[in-house]
Amino acid sequence: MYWISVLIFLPLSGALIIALTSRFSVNCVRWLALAITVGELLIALSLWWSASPDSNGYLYLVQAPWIPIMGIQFLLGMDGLSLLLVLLTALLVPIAILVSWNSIRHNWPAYAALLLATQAGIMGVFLALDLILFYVFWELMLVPMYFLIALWGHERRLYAAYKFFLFTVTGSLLMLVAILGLYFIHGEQTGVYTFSYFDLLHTNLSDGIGMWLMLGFFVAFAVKIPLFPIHSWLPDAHTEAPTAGSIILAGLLLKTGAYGLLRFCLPLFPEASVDFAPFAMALGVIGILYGALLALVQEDMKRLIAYSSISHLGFVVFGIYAWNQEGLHGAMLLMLAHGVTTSAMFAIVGMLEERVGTRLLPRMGGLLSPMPRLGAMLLLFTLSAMGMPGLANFVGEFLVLAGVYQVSIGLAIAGVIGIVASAIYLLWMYQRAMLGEISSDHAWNDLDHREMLILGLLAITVLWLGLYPAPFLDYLQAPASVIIESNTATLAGTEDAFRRPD
Amino acid sequence: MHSADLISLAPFIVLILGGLTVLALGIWPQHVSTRTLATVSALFLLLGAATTMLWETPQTVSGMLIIDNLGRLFAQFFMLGAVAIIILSFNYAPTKNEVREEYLSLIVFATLGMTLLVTSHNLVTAFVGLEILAVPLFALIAWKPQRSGAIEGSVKYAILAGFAAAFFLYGITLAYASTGTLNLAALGSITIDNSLLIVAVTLILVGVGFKLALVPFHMWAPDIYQAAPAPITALFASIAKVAVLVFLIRLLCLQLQHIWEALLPLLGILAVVTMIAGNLLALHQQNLKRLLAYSSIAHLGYILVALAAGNSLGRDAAIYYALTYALMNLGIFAVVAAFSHPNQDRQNLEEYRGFGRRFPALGIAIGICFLALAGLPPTAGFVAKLLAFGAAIEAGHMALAIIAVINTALAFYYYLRILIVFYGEESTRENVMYLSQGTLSIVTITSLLIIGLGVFPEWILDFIKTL
Repeated sequence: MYWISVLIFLPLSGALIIALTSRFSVNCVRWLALAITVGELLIALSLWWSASPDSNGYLYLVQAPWIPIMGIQFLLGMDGLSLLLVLLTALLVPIAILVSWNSIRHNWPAYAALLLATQAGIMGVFLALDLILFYVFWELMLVPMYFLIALWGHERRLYAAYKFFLFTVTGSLLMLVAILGLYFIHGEQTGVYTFSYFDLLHTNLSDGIGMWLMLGFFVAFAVKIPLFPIHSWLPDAHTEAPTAGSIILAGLLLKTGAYGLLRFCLPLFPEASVDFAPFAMALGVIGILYGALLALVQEDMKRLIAYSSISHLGFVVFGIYAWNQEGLHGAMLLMLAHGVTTSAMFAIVGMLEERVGTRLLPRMGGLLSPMPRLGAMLLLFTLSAMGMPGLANFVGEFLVLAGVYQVSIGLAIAGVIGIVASAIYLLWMYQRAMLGEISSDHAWNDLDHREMLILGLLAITVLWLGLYPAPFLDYLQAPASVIIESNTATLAGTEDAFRRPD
Repeated sequence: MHSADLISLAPFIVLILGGLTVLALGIWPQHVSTRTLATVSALFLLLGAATTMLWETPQTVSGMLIIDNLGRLFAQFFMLGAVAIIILSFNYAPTKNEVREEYLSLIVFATLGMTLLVTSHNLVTAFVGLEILAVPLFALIAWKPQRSGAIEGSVKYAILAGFAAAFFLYGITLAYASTGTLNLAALGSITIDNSLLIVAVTLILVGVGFKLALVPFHMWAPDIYQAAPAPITALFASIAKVAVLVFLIRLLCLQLQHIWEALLPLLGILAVVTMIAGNLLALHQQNLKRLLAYSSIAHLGYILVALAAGNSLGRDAAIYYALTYALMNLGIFAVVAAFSHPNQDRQNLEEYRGFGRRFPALGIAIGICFLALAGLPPTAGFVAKLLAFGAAIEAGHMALAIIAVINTALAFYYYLRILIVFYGEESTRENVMYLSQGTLSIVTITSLLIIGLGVFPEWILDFIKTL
């Protein structure tokens, strides 16, 4: 099935065409970019429709030699987790383009090209199963994102863009060292020098080396998630990025970090990860509480949502390292839910900013009565973000807590405190922005059709994820059980938990 | 001397004839246009590259030259690179009417020096090659001497090149004193522990280090990068440096492998100092040409990381990196040459603001070159770094690899700063600039090669493995 490589190359070639032929009019570029991303969404949906898993849970695999002399392949694979994240990517990028429709005023061709290139990189990250190929896409999504922030962002955009890039690139270069280390160790053991994920799963690592290599990967993913001590790029980057940039950052880029943990960190280094799990959970719980506390005191709506992302992604890490069925399912589902909910909230903040001219909460208030549709939408997504039953985040958070409860009651209680705090800061945000006295007698425009379309699509997804998550959970069954098996394999001391899917 | 040797010597003869022909055309009674002169010298360079195809490899010529695939690859590369330099110079506004027979023949002779250097099989041939390369550069750096800093730069380079030559010669004499031979194969066959030979090679390394601008022999680089006209900076920042580097690789990795092993710790230390110093000095530099000087110092550091690994992957990585490095710098300085003011280069980074947007195709090429220097996939710069760091990790030098990647991360800061200036909002719109087709095609071809070698490194890696 070569269609999954189309997922990468369609936006990439679209980006090249738009960048090189700068003769198109702005309107033409907008529609072209939208058409490409909608086409991408249709391909992703049809892949979902026709998916049939093989024995190892992989729905599609593409394998072609790339640099055989170094054992690098063009190896793409899609399992249930990749499928759902690919769908999320395919959904959010057209939404990002729609959000930017009128708010981006200069240099649309470059902007659209960069958005499409980012999409290609993210798709590649979710699909690549060759470690060098993965690294290539990992960097590929970084550069266009950097330019999106640095050229179309708000006042302190350069600072934010540098910070974002340098944090991430340092992490990913350490991952590159770890990849190479793993490659040579595996090569020395077996005589086969390869970067293929399936082969490297079998590597025997001594405790010390395994831990160091695992940390190399972990740092790269922890920067992206972001975990507590290396999170400081996130509030700046989210705040300064243009709305579409924030959507892609929060909705997709943060997910690549969690995805990396699930796909690479845990299965490749099960022993080291088991040893490290308590520390990772501690970092997760610090992230939950620290993000929530900082969100409580933010005046800037975008910054508030950015800190709430740190808090929510703490839950994801929590669930991943709880390492049981509920925890992993919850983490994966929460990734999707957070992607949709937070993107919607950033989109709404962008719309508010276009109308009010500020993101600062003290200068808003009473906006519900002039803009009832916007207010209602914001309420829906706020409730989802704070974990209201029946909406997207609830299922994920509930499952994560159920998983963590089996590991440690104390940590589960800390997690619940985080949920309570999220209810406080989110409701307070809603109250300050939407309720109360109206501050100016401006002529307000409520949402237009384009904006209703954006938020409507996201609202449907949120309701679907919240009310009937079973179709998604079915796809997560196989990836989660593979990860759990890797843990029990460690405990039982057998190495045969993984078989190569051919 | 056999008749077969004549074939081996053909490229050298062609280059000598080419240089002399161009000089002779200059004193021709009728006026010969610059275009004709440039075409003739380019044709001789292409002919030289073509005659290397006739080489039967590997063989040695009287123990002085070695004719092998490594030499052929780089000889062709240098000659084609020199053609690119001629095209750049021809279209370069500040030396518009000054590119005549002297200038062109000096470039051809410098190319001869490079070719001699990479095919030398004897330390004396190497020295001769090094000097044939260096002397034309003295003159070329100071071309159009009324430019500010031109004479100063040239004198500085001449003095430091003199120092380098002195160290190099001292190394050669010590090698001769300790072994009684200067032939590289003979030197390589000496397996007994000979500490004097190690000292000799260390001295040669110092001489080479001056030319490569390794820290602590790097002081000249920023001044001379700044002083020289952009096409000449392109010449010595790309192919001339690579010629010296390939000689070093041949000396250490192919011929004197036991000395290489003895020098590994020294190479490692040089690599660390060179990377760190180069990147730190580049960090806040506002002058683009000086910044690029520091960045190329840092790149030499990464190449030394590969050499310090001491394994065959390290050798392959160094060769691949050398090619990539030359391409990247050629592309970047072609851009600097393209954007020059009518009478001098743009120096300050801010003077380039918004150019990437104004010229979309050129802008993408610039982006590719800088991202390649930064080492981002899918460019050749990434594969080069992957190989170099991989070699260090294979050899077990984990600390060296980690220092190298942290340096790479540091370098991102200033490369991104440059790119942001190139793509930023223009503050004042200058009058329309004319970009010549020749320069544009050089930039385009180099950036396509950088992408091509990055996506399909097989093209060249397979070949390098067999060297």
